[in-house]
Amino acid sequence: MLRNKNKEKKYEMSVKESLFWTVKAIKLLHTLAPGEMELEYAGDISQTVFIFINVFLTARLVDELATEMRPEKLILFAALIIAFTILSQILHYVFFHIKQYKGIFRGEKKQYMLNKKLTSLDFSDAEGQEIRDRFFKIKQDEDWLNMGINPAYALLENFIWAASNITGGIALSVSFLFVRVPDGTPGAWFLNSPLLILAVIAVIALNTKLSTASGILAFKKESGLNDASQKMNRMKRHTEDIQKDENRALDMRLYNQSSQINAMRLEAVDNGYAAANKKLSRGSAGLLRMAQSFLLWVPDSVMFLAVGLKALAGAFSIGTVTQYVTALTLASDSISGIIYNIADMRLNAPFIKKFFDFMELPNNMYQGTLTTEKRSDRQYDIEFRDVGFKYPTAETWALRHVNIKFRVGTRLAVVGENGSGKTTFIKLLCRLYDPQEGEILLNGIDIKKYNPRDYMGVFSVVFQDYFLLSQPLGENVACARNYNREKAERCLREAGFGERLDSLPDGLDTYINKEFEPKGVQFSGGEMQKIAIARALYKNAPFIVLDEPTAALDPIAEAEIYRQFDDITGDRTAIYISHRLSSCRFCDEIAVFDGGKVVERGTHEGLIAEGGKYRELWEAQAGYYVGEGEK
Amino acid sequence: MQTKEKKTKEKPTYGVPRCLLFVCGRVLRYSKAYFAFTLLGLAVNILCQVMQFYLAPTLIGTLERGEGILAFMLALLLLGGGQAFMMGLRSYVDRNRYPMKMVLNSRLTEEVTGKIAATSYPNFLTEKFKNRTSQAFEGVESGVINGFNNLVNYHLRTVIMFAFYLYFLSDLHPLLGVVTGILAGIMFFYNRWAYAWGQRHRDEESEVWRKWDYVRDNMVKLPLIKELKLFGMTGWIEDIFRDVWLISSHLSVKRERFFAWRGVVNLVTDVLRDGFALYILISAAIRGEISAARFVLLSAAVNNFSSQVGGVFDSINHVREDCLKVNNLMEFINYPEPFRFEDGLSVPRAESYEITLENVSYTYPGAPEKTLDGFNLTVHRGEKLAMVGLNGAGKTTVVKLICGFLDPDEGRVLFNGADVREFNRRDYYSLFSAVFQQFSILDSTIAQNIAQSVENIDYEKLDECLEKAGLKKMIENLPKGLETHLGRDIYDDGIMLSGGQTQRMLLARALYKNAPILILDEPTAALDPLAENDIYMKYNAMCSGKTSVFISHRFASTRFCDRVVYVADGKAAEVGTHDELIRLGGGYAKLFEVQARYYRDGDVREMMRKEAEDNASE
Repeated sequence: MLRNKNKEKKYEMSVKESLFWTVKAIKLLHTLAPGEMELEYAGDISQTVFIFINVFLTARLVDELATEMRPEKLILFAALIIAFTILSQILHYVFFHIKQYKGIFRGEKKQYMLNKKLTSLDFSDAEGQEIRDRFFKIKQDEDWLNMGINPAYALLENFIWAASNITGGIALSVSFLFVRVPDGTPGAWFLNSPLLILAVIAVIALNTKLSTASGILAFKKESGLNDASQKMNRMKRHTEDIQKDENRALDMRLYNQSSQINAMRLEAVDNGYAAANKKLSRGSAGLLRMAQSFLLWVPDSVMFLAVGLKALAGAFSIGTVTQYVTALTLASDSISGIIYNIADMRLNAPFIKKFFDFMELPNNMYQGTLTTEKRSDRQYDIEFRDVGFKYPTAETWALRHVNIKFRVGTRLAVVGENGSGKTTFIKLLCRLYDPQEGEILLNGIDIKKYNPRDYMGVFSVVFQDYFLLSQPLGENVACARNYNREKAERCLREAGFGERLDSLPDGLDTYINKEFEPKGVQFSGGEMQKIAIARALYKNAPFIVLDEPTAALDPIAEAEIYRQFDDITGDRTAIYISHRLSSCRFCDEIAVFDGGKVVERGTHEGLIAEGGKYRELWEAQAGYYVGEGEK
Repeated sequence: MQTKEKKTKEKPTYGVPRCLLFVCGRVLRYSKAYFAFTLLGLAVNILCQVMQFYLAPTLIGTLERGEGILAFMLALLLLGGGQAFMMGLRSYVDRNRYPMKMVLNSRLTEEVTGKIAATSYPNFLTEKFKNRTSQAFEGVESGVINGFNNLVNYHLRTVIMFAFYLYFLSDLHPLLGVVTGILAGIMFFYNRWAYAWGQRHRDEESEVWRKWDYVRDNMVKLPLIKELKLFGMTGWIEDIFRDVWLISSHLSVKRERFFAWRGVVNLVTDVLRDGFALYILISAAIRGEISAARFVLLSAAVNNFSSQVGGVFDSINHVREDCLKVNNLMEFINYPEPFRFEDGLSVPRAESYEITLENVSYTYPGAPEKTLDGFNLTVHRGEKLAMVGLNGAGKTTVVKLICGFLDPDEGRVLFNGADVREFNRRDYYSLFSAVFQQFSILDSTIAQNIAQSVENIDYEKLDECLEKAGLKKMIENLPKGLETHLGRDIYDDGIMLSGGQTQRMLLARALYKNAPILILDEPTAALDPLAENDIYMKYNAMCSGKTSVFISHRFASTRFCDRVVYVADGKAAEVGTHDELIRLGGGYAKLFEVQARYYRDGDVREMMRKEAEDNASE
């Protein structure tokens, strides 16, 4: 499989390249939470210093015990040990708590950055599955694999920790190299020569190499399960989420979905990931991990042996033995630590790259600079000239050869079957997409040449899937924290929300839903629809577009929206999209979409007389109503 | 806020011993291997610790006593090598426990989801049950599985090591154990108090996380991105994010200040303990009672012992915490069921079925008003019934009562004359094919979703149902056809259905089930006029020989049904044929008129203008 091949390749990121990405990640983390890292690492270094002071003092204490046992010396050493413990703990807590505070919301700020990037992309990119998958994968990798930006923090910490340990370890054990055993003791030639330390280093290096190799080999074997593991995790999350969901509870019972889900889970977990993992654990991966852990402890023994041999030959005292052993053990652990850390860094770096690659995605839409002058007469002429649009992954054109010109101040009804291109038409109109063929003109100039923000300012759209946030009502209307309260209230009244507004004790400050405020109000579908319309009114743009505003409403609520339609649109140019053809009756003109084209245009009466697509649609729906009332 | 306080204070039903018994019982039931391997891991771990404990002092001992190179190397090989081997073995054991844990998790999750899937539907309407559901999932992983692991690898190990060091130090100084114990006790009670403080503030903090989750998740939803671009909302969202972040920093200052005091208490107890131990050891050494090697061994023992004492106290806290989670899981599994299942009567099979709602009243939990109040209706055998009414009139509630998802507060629902409450509810559900507004489509293949099964799919029947629901052409155009995956939660190649496609899919599934009673709740809201009409045309064929209920606020649907019931004010306000109800001139006729007038000849705009004027003058 292609994806596996890619993964294989990803291990091979060079140390230099992976270092580059890791440093970049660390810089980012630093800007997100300035001060956090410095405190963390300062804390680590100070702790290491105290550990080595402690090792040194304990060694002196043991020496004293093994030799002269002078009480005043013993007490002095003991007192020093206690004093340094106190100092180290105080420093630790101070560093720790300030660091905790500095680091607050670091991960969230990073996620917010990523979110913001996604929302700032061209809409066609932001909704594209490939981009969205990449976006969600970044978070998933961090949550499930612990790979990405955050681990860079720990990587650097490990390096710093290891470096300080090695420094301290060498400082306390450097004399080990120079202390000589008395000549004439068996093996003195070896113990007194640099060969000893070279041998020790050689064994440790070889051992670390072996251990790392078995670790990486095990990791490679385990990564063979990545796909199965991903499937298992997705399955677990999906099934748990949907089984908890009360909205699904009816179908669950009626269609016995739980047994289906159990079968899916059994396949993905027991027979999928768990079975494959079991085989690996019993065999190669398990044994490799065993070897890795075993080898981890070899350096300590070698160190013990070297120190012990020299001590046996009488080179130094018992206390010094404890000092050397502890210092060397810490140093050698740190050397292995660095080697593991480099391996981890190389594994992690590709995930960092994914993050930055995403952050650097370009906006491909041409961004013009022309401004749309604010015209009080709302004279904005829009024209589609032979416009064609195809979704990136689709084979057929969503719209093709569309020619349409809006007449200022009129109401246009757009009708057509599902998938006939109505919604795409609207998205092109407000430049969420750019057409691949033809052009759209505003006052005779291609809309690409306008500043996009300015151009979008010309439209107020109430989408079918409008989105209200769990925030105060007024803010939802104005889409801002600070807004003109009078205007917001006026717009709500114009949208027919006035009566309901008066019934709310907190008025404009009433929270929608309960996520941010337990006293928030859950409005009905019709009420939410009106709030969304008020939002469009608040924007006060020359064009207003309503996309299926009554699909979820009952006849009374629908009639109310119809009745308010004239108030809502005022002197604006209005476009009304609907399945309910009743809406065509109060529009000035109707455009009928079919198969991505505008097939008919005219008034209701004209189109009925024409006997085309419109008439077909009309009769399908009206047949049930007409004739009856005339009885 | 206050209710939350109460919730945490609610006494658990099951005590610690019963919870632990439950944990061990479940682990043994679902994975004996996991049980055995965990115990094996413990044994290896303890051996490893003991070897490590003896390693340095033994080696120093051989040097001090000058026992020569062989004794030194032998000790190194036995203790050092032994320790390394044990570490390796532990890795192997842990590695092997992992897949066993997956299976264990899977079985336990199945127990929870089994309960959710089977539980009486009204349970879903209570906050208590919903809370318990999330807690139950938490109880699987962090209650039973982690609880068992903690029990063996932490608590049991701590107790064993505690006993070991206690035995070891018993002859050193009688006060050593007492002082260490007292100091650890102080730490224990302090920690418990601090933990309780943390718990009290956790509600505040979890509120911040909930808000953050809301911002994070909703910000990237496509509908919001659209509005964000068109309405320039970026600044607003930034403000919302900043608010959440500020609350969080504020809480963090509070928390860090509080826990800084824990540092102080820790410091004092640590210094007292280490100081006292050093004092005892050094005075013993001065008296010449212990050698240097023994000093190293004893000081290690003292250090380890004091951390074990703390550990034993911590264990007490942790076991209680784990058991609280296990208790939640147990309470969930034993959550009371108002419906009858296996203990109910099996449903009598008949040619056709009649359902009667007799003076039914129903109020949703926590709702201020009755949704249904004295509702009377009979759905006759083989009848096609249309149900209409405004949003919120209670149509869906009636359907839920008919299908046996809800039981009435007053009155009865009769099924061929017998009270639905008497039946085995699962059995009863098998009689219904339905399309609800709330639906569930699984992330699996189209075929599996329609056939409601992973295997034994009748492809001929499947084909027929797709044809009837008008989905066939769309599926034929998909490269993988019926085997196409739906949704993107699991499969990268899954497709997303549009609203209209979803409704057709639900219809196909209902037809495939082919149960004797067919219920359709607003099945055409997302369809265009031609598609809607198409469904209407096929409706007769779909429900031939069945009893059916069709709910819609589109009045066209009433034309092809035998009878219409108009629901208003929680009652079956008007019942009869369409013509009868129009002649009656009541609520139904009025509503029909509201919708129909737009479809008639005449000047609609003139009419609307007049109406608006009327409204204004009122």
